[in-house]
Amino acid sequence: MLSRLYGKRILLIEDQEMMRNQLRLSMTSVGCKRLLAVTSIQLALEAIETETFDLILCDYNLGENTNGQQFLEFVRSRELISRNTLFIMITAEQSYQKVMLVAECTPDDYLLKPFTPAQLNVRVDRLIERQEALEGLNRACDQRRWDLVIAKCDKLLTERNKYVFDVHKIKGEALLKSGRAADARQHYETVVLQRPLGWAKVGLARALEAEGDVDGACKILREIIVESPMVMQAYDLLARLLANSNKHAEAMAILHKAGEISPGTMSRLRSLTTLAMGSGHNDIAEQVMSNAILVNQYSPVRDVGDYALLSKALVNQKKGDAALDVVKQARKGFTDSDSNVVLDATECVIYQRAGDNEKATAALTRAMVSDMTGIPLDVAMSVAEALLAVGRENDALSLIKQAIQNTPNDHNLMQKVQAVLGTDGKGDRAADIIASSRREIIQLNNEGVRKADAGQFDEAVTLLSAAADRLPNNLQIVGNAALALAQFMVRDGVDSERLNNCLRYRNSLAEQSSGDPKLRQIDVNLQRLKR
Amino acid sequence: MNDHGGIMGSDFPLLSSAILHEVKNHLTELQWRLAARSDASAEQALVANCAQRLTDLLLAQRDVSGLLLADIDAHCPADLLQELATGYAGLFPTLTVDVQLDNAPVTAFYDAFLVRLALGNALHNACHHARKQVQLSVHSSNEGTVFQMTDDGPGFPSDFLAQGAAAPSNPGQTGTGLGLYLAGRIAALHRLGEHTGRVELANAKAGGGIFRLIVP
Repeated sequence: MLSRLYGKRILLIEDQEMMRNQLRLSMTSVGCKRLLAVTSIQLALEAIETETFDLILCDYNLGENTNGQQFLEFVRSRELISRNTLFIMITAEQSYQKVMLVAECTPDDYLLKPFTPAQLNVRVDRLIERQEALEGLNRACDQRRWDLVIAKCDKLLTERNKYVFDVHKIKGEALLKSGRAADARQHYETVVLQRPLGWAKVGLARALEAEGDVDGACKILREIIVESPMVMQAYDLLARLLANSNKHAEAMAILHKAGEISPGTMSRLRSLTTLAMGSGHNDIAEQVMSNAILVNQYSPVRDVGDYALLSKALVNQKKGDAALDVVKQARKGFTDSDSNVVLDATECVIYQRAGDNEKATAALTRAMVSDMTGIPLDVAMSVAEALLAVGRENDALSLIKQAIQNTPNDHNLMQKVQAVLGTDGKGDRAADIIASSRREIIQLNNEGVRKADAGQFDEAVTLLSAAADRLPNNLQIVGNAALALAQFMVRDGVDSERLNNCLRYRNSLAEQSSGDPKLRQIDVNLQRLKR
Repeated sequence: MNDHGGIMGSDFPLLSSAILHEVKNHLTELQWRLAARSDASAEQALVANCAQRLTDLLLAQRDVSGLLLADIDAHCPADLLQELATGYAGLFPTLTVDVQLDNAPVTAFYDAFLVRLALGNALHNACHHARKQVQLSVHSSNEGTVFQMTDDGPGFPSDFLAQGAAAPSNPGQTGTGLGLYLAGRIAALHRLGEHTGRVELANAKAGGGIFRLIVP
């Protein structure tokens, strides 16, 4: 019988020459179409930039303090590989298996050394069988067409095959991603009734959170931690919910407990650092983040924000020189414009705290030299912090407001705003700022939609276009601006400027969320223009 | 600090992990070289056993530190048994490793990694003692999912049957003491309401040992 590997494209990441040669021999002997063997994460990243692979076979231990888990976390969190690309981690000991259970960071399977060629082949065969059964579903997920994903899941669930729980898992995610919280809750409740699996209970907690029942979500997450202590996602989610409710010490204790079981992903270490700083434990923050940066120094999961966090923890302990060293170190690895803004803003805070107003102002000027429209949330927060440091509170608040309105659904918004406000962010201030910023943009959006519905397209378009230009990542605003423009042209005829703007907003929406249901509405109107 | 203090201190876990990784790489190399020959299945089985003992040791270490935890999800038990049988049929070519799946449930709930290790240990033991045949099967019972292994060897010694999957009385002994103990621990990590997984040993009337791992 022909191996399922026949005709497949395989990327092998293995630093040991012997293993690389043996695996290469084994894979090519069963007729794979292409096998690229690389020795490092860097070379693997270059490979996936230009090629698509069906299977990635990656050794956990890659030398130079890098490992396969860092690579997996990076490529999955940034969606650099399709859900249809299988990822198998080869490990020497089983404890690596338990590093994390966040779906995005879990490989499709682990292979424990040593293994025979026959064992490898039979395992890969099973995984490809599953990949082929779920291929259409995964493709729809890649395209973020959640309605299609849900429809496909419902069809597959009637077949009652061995992948039924995989399909349940994907359906729950799709319901949550498409904002159908009540349906997601019902779905997960049904799964939990069949079997109280950790991921299904986490899904239930996420659905409850989305419905606004934070206490209910926390209760379930605490249950999971007692019953299934390996479900690391439960710790992360519970810590976030606690932090959002201003229970910083409790949140930190939860993340500490998680750390005892597994060292954790970079994102958990970031949360722990932020929480430690928020509750005044700057020494712990320094320790956690400097260690995380050291461990990941050759890994792509590092971020310029990690250096900014470490520098902040140092400044808070009056270690200005050490903080400047951290910025200097970061500048060697991060040279893009957003990173420069973050590092300039960080320097501003360091100098201001050291009493050097002149250097602080110069650093802030450098940070604000580029256009602030639509800059990423984290970058905006860094600049806001610098503005606060030099006493420009109104400018800081207006930048925070704009950043919130640009990305109103960021899960860690509360923690981020609290972190910027520092001691001023205690109590309800951060929550008030977030709520009022969100309220303002919702009102603006509703006003725009109401005017469009009433046929006052000119006013609707003026309102929504201005907002869409200011907030290019707020998909609701961008989508409604495109729709209002399209409807305007259907009624009053095509105008080249309106058409250009409409297409610009439409394409931006498609790029950021290709499955957005509003795209269809916009396209239907654009089709009518052609007739 | 003297040299002893240094090596037994904070670097020790790193050192042991590095050595383990190296040994496992060498074992893999040996395994693949042997697989390329057609006359070295006994040596391959020996390598597999060495690796399994190392893995058992690590599992025991995690157990002692309270970090032996299960990540239970839905899996296809038939796939697991077929995979194990394929692996061991190559290592014991004179034996027939038969998989009976007539009553296999489509899905069962267990930690695939841990159950694979426990069944691998038991299968190695069964193959080691079998004369001609080992049979693997899986079925549902009112206790949950029952993985069963039957061999046509001499069966378990009576004191072994009495001791069951209790802690190994003599950790230095060769054989299955630790493997069986770990299988019992792994089974016990599987809980559903009042039910807890367990391991069961028996001898068949016609002779031969029967190993059962039951997960709720």
